[in-house]
Amino acid sequence: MKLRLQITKDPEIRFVSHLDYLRAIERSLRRSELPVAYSEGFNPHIKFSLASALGVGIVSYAEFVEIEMAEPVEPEQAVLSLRSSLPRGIRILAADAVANNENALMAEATLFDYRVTLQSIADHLDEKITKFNSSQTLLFKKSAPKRREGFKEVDVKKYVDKVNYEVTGNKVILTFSIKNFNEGSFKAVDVLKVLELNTENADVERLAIWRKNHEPMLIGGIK
Amino acid sequence: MQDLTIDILNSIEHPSRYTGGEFASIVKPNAKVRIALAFPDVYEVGMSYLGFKILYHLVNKEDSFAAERVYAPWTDLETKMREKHLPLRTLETGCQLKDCDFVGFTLQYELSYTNILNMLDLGGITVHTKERQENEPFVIVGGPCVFNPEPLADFFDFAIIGDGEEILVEVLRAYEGWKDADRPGGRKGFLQRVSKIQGIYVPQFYDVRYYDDGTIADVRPNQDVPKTVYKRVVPDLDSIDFPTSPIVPFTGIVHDRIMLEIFRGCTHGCRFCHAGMVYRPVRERSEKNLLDLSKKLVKNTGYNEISLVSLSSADYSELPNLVHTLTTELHDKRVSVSLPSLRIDSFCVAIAQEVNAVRKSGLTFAPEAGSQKMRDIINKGVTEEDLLNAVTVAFENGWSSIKLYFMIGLPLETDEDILAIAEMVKHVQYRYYKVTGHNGCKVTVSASVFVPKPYTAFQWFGQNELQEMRRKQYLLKDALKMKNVAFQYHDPETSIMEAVIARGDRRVGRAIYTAWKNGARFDGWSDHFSFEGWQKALQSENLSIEFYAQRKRSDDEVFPWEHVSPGVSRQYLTNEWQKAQEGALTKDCRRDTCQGCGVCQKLGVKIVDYGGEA
Repeated sequence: MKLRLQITKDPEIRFVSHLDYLRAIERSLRRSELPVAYSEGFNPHIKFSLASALGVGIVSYAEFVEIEMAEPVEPEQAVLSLRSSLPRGIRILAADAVANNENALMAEATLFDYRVTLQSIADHLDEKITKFNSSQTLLFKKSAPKRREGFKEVDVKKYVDKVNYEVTGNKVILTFSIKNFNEGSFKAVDVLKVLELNTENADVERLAIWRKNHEPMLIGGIK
Repeated sequence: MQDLTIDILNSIEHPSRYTGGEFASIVKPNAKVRIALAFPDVYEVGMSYLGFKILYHLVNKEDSFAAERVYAPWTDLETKMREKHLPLRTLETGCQLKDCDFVGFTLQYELSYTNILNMLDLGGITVHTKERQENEPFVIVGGPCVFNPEPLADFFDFAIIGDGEEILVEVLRAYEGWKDADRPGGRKGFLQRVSKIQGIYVPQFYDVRYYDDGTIADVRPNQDVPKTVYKRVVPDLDSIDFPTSPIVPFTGIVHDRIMLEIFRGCTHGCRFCHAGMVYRPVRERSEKNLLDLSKKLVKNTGYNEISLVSLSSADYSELPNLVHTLTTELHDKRVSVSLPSLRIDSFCVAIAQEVNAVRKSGLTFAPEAGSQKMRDIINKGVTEEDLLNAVTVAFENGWSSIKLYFMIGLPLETDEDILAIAEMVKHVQYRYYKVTGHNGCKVTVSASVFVPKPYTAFQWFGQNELQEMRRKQYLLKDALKMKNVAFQYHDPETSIMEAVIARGDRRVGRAIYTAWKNGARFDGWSDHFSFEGWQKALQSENLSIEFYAQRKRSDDEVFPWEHVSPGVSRQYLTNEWQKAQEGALTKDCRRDTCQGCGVCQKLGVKIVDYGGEA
């Protein structure tokens, strides 16, 4: 069976890189002594994966990890043993279990919800967002270091329909959803760049990941 | 550090170095006495240091004490901190260094000293001890280089000499008492109190007088303190706690695995080796204790590798049993065992074979010198035959790449001795051909430039000059132009500065200060090291490289470090220096007669060796 968990990457560990976050999960699993499945070979590792990679500096309340077990476990029990093994900053929000032959979670994710808090109110904010929302296409030069030109031109609107915003005091809160396709997705900070907003002190949080038709990632999971 | 905002962390390399919160880190905001364990290099290096893992655990075990960590910020963050006036803080509670009760630096490496000054400054602490205010923390130093603390004497309040496990807690208790009594006598009052603890050295309680030629006339106490401060030794390692739940970092660190110290000290008696002199005597942990510790460590950390560390792990008396039991027990948990240091013999290769069951990573040996004459001079006690026997077993077991470590610039060395390194490499490659029938054994040769250290038989030796070091490097480089041989060496300038500081006196501190003021940071990182910067700093203080590094010191010279002692007698070192020149060997006292270094008698300790009669 595969154990599926919704876990967090809380603000205190937001600057932990994706690779280091994976390693922290692996070490937590080892500490928990759950009967996880290992790969074969000289360098055995635990068979687990994350639904998507998260950029350094981004907080998430919707990381989905899928762990292959060597023998079946009760999700409730597994959560209990794992909780005390996790470092501060990684919490378990939900869990369920599926058969090994279920599709990988990674293949199921179609939509990411983000919230971005900006520490100041940019000039012409309303204008910029209205223009974004009303455009049919908006070309953006996405950084692509492997290409000769160093970038790849993509249409942002293929990924993001609409950006909502509200102003509270001196802060601006943006919310938007980014579509995920097999061939790739779009970065939340790049949405800010398209909007010509300051990305340096942007507080970016991933709130949710959805399957097709806005179905939740964990079906029948326990909280 | 809380005032590192998102925009700062977004703009620097490896931001998670500075954000803490790792598994098993201990946060005690209400502790009565707080010490910052300060490592003068980046997080990845400092987090790999076992000494601080041990002290962190021992201090935090006490309810009223807190040990926290702080590392040197990389230059990108330092620029931001200085720009925005952000102070250096600890990772645990974000305590600014100036608000801690103690800041304790470990002295691992001479070229990290400018980072110490920089961290004090960034932490809001007055850099010079004598200008430090009543309410500032006490700055402590400890670690291996503390056996010559003099170059830093102007900057720290007191030094902890030797094993820190017991003494650090004693110091913190003394401080608690002093604080509770409303700080009688002020800073000086506390320093007088701690100077009564054996192993504490307070530099301001000693006056140094110099002769006109710059050498030392004498070092005399100006207070009621011992004339010589002897190191502390933990007599029985099994009797003190070893951390079984060390911090597990998020980011990859240099030694990212469980480190289990199987014994302390080494008595092979290599004449260049500082660690071999200052960590005496050999004290083993019992096999039962080690097995128990390793089980807990594996369970508590989640690491998949356990490294059995010591100065020479193959010397552990119960090593075959220990390794066999560990590899068997840990196999199901997918935990591998590693040995960081291998002696040159076939026994060790067999052990390596067992721990490395399938993975054939490279094997490393350290013959240290190429000719038998040189190996006798340094008392290495191995022959070329030993090495060839060892590699034979390695090749028979499938290894095909070997790394060899050497030193050049040793005392009494001639060009023939350097060329002998190349000969040795040829013989290793030929042995591979004889064993496997193929050519193509990869040999990596690493040669470092010898730095004479205090409390070694070579403390009198004048280091080679820069041109001579370069010439020897090229001589070896040319001789190693062979198929499948890689040669690694580094800029000799760093070895010169290491030598200046390693055997420096209090006046060298002025050059360290000037170099730091002129921007020296991370001198141990070759891309940051500026030899010109150091030359200028020395010049501006009227100090010379020649005097500290290259001068042959006379037999009766008073050395700057001799009022701080690991217990090894001057007479023993003199004899060893004499024997080196005769090429005479000294045996390991561990399983042979006492060689008279004086440590056990002076300090009232003894060898702990579970192997008994060999």
